[in-house]
Amino acid sequence: MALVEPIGPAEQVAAAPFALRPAVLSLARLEAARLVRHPVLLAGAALSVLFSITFADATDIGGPYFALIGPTLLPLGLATLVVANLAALRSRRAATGELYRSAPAPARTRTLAHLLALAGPAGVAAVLILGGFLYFGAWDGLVVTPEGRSATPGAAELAVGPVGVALLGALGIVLARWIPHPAAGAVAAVGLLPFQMLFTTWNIQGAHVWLLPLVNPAQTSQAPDSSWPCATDQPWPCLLEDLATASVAWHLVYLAGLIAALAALALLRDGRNRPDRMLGAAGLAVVLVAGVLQIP
Amino acid sequence: MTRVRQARLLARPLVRTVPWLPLPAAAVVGIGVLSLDGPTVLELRFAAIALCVAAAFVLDDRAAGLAAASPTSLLVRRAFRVALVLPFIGALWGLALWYAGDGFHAGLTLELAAMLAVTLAAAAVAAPFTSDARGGIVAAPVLLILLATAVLALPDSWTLFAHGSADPHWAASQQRWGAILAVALLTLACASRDPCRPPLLDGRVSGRRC
Repeated sequence: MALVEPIGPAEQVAAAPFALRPAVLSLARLEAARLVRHPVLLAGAALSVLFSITFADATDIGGPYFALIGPTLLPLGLATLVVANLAALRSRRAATGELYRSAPAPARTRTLAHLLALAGPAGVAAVLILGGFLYFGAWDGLVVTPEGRSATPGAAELAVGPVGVALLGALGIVLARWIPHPAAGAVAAVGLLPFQMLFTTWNIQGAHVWLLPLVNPAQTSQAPDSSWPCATDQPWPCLLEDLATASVAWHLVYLAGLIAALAALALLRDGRNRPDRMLGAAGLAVVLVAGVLQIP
Repeated sequence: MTRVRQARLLARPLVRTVPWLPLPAAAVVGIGVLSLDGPTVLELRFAAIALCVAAAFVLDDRAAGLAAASPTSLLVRRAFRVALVLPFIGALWGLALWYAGDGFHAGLTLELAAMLAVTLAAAAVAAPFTSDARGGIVAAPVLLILLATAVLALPDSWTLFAHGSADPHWAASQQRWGAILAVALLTLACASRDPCRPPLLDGRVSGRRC
């Protein structure tokens, strides 16, 4: 009689979720701590603060409001993309893939941990938003039109930035899993930057703008040559018809669906299984529905 | 052995070890950006940045450990690598300029050269501190952070990113790019000196990392 009874595949599968959960959470905590301590992420956070302050100073009408609803977190988001990509490629750089394959936790555990670790950068983004909220005194309302109309950003608007940061991190992990080259994350960040800059910061209007992670909710369709936020002394018109707050709430749902779809895509690289495919399908369904509903 | 013969012998192994793939991928990203409806100078600048980020990995040499013991110095090996890649980057930049349809842009080409030199210098400086002497993973984010800092922190009178030749800050910004290019090339050359070179001041070699 054998001293150690071999465990059959059925028992392994049944036991796996319970046995792996502590491993996933431990790895996720470790990876999150590494992400938020990474110099590139810290530089991204510092640049986001600098972007918020300089942008709010340059655009006194709507600038502080704009800084709180996400777009000024772009440097932090792109830094998260690059850092999450590098973290997910660490085992490849260190040539420890074979060693990890001998560990009891499968590759899926590490991918899941990398995805959960994005709570770290998202938390940093949330702290920056909270800091901005206090710095700009947003609870009293912020001036959003030249006539002095004020508005306070709602919970959904404040959440777009941190969720957008998590989404960009998930994109970095997907790239690491499917295009495992260290250049992929940085090149993707450079590719995304002009789209965000033109369609969000410069507020070029169009339905496709809402497909990007960070959005500008200003509606100025009647005056395409105007911009928002704007400075009191700018030579071009400063008009704001409306702030599409309902669209921002749907955009948040769209981002959540996109994160689920990207997470499933990253996990599917480690082997196809039913829960991942269902997560991917549910994420895509949410993306399609919320993607349509978010367009004002 | 002459340098020409060295270059001829090294050409084939270098072609095999240079990471080529990110460069055309960056060119595709650049062309995508150029197809947007925005200012051409800005879009060409983004195309140049994409090329530089991809070029950050050019100095990453999988065979660096083996080649370190060869008679060809690190400086020469890196010079051959850069010389091999430059025409390809030039061709991709030419493609971007052709696609933009704005003719040859000497000012933006200078910006590309300076950003490329900064990226390679950052990769060379970072290489001894990274695993397998691969400084690319440091150089690409460093370039992006430096550029973002320059955009956000420099006052208008010190800007590096003038909006075009009609901008009153254009000539001054070009001079700054020229100075950055010179400093970056000098840094690249210094950081590429062989770790086991004879010291400049005396003949002692103790305590050196070689």
